Amino acid sequence: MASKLWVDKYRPLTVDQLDYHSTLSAILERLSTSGDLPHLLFYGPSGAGKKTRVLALLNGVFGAGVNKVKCEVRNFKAGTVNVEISILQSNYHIDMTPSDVAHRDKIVVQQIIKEIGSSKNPDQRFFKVVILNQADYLTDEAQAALRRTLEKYTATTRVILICNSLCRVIAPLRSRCLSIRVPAPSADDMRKVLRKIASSENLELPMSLENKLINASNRNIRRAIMMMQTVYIQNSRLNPDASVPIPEWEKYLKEIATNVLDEQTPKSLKIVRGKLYEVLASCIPPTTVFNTLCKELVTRSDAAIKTVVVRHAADYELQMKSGSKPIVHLEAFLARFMSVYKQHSNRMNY
Amino acid sequence: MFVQSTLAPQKPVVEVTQTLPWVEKYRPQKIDELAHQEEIVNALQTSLSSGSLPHLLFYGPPGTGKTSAILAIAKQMFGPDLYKSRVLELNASDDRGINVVREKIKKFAQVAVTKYQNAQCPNFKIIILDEADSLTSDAQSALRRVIEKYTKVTRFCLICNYISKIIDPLASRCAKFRFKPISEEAHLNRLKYICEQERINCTNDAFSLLIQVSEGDLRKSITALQSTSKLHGDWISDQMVLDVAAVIPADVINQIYQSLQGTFEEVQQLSADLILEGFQPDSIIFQLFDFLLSRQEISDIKKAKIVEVLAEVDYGLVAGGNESLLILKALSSIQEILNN
Ligand SMILES: Nc1ncnc2c1ncn2[C@@H]1O[C@H](COP(=O)(O)OP(=O)(O)OP(=O)(O)O)[C@@H](O)[C@H]1O
Ligand SMILES: [Mg+2]
Repeated sequence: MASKLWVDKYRPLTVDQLDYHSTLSAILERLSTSGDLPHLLFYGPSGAGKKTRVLALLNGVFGAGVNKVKCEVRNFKAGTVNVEISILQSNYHIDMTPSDVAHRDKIVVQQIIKEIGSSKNPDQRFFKVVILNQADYLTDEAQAALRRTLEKYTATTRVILICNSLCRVIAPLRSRCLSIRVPAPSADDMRKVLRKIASSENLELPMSLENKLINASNRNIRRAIMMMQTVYIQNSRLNPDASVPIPEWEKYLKEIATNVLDEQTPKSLKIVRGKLYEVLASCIPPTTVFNTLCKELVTRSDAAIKTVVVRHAADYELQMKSGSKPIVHLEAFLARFMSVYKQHSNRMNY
Repeated sequence: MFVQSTLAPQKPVVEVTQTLPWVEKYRPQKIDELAHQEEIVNALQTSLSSGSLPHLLFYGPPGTGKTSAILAIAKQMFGPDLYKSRVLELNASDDRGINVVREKIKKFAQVAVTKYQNAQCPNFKIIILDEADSLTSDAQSALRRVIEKYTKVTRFCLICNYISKIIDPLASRCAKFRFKPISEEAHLNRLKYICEQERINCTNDAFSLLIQVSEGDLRKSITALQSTSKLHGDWISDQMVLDVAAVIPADVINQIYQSLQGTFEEVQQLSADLILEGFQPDSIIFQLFDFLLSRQEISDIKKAKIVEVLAEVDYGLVAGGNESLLILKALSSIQEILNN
């Protein structure tokens, strides 16, 4: 059965299997062969391959044993508070996402590092590694608490932080880590990876499909591979005419944009409101909605108002972050857009 | 019989020092090793020779020697034998709540200090509260009384990055020392010293780049130094430093400037690319600010407007706004200003 996901099946396991960013791979290679690691902070957009690189690095340091992971649910106690979190663990490392437990993350982070600091590796290695995913979502308290902890347990523990956005990591924490930037793969990088997978599967990858995949995935390698596999499953081959699947919600947002551009009235706003509710109800992050709508509206409106529209989108999105009801801010943005758009077209008509 | 477990703990001791990162290996052991903090060094030297010490509050940006300073003076005052019984280090944020902290302090302070033959050795204990800025203000108020209660037998040293988070009544009980960002000269000397000790070569360009990207944070530059030297044998050049530093290369900034003179679509594409390349919005804003203000061809009034936009966006980033939208807002607004 070929049911295994290609993203998993073809995930590079070692540093020399890494497909692109060769300078970065050279850095990782040297870090892994030197036998010692500083604390590390990997940052870059999602789907760029940060986690793959981290695991490949650990593979270089500890050997294939890092791939034997088991998943378990752990309990941490602090006073009367009890926190539960699931972690992945090998003999050499622990992999966790502390932001899963929201504001209790500090308890988890500290206890796990202390615990690791006092446990032993099976071989001669003297440190274990703790991977903390989504480090930019750690609360300020958790980040502050990591300051001295990182120094105190240096002899036995290395921490690898992974995040999208460096500016949400506090300066004292950044100071304690070597930062490593992982850019999204370029179109050519993606091409190579897609071709390699296709040929390993004995499939013909037509140029037209390849381009479609690359364009639609926005330099997110994971998404491109998933889409390619979807096409394969639906067509039993990599059909050059296959349309690349666009998610339902994205179509829906395009529709909303069309509504707004067609008619700028309270009635139209009311229709749009209903649709926005539906999108949000299917758990699409409001920020994504803002981004997609902004892009769509800007593309389809006159050059003279593009900048203003962007400004409003950014401002209402920011306002939403300190508010409590995303729908209100989305609607406010669209109402504002209608007004800007209408005024502009009135002016043009005279 | 020698079982493995008795052997095991001894073996790592040798190896662990071998693999200790340079930041720890070159942590100043004596206070006069401390770079660039002359006033503080002088004050602490005086304390050392007189054997008296006030309560201390150290504050300042990361990697400037706060933790090192207190550890060094404690070691020098008490020597290796007494250190354990005289110095208590608490991560303020480490232990849940002030009650635990209070309990620990009580236990530690209660044990009487043994008069020591060495007359130099003062008859108090030192309690170090690192990360004191993560104590809640309730905890800080409680700490105030604790300090008073044990003031005869103990000295407290509070350490923090953000002094604004320490309540006044607590701060006023301490001698306050502000640790400055390390100057370029002091920075260079320290890095050169480490290179000598480690027998590695480093170009002058690489040194100045290391210093420039670390913004007065000695820990940052030492980590970068070690990582680049490890990556490339014993030869460090400036390109290698750039590889591991989170700065945006000059040609990218130039490219941004180019696009600012083009169409909206160009700016839109570039904004998306910058985020996908993993460049950090705050660095983009900051470096762009420097770059644009230094351009002769931009009029003062336009510069003023640009600064206004950048300030707004910088605030937005800190307040948690979406990075893609904010960068696009910054670049397209600047474009509009430049083209009008
Ligand atoms: N003034 C200094 N002189 C010499 N070395 C220093 C100095 N400041 C920092 N370092 C180097 O940086 C490392 C970290 O310094 P230290 O722990 O004292 O910083 P800190 O001020 O406590 O920072 P943080 O606020 O992040 O805790 C030291 O181990 C040392 O290698
Ligand atoms: Mg410190």
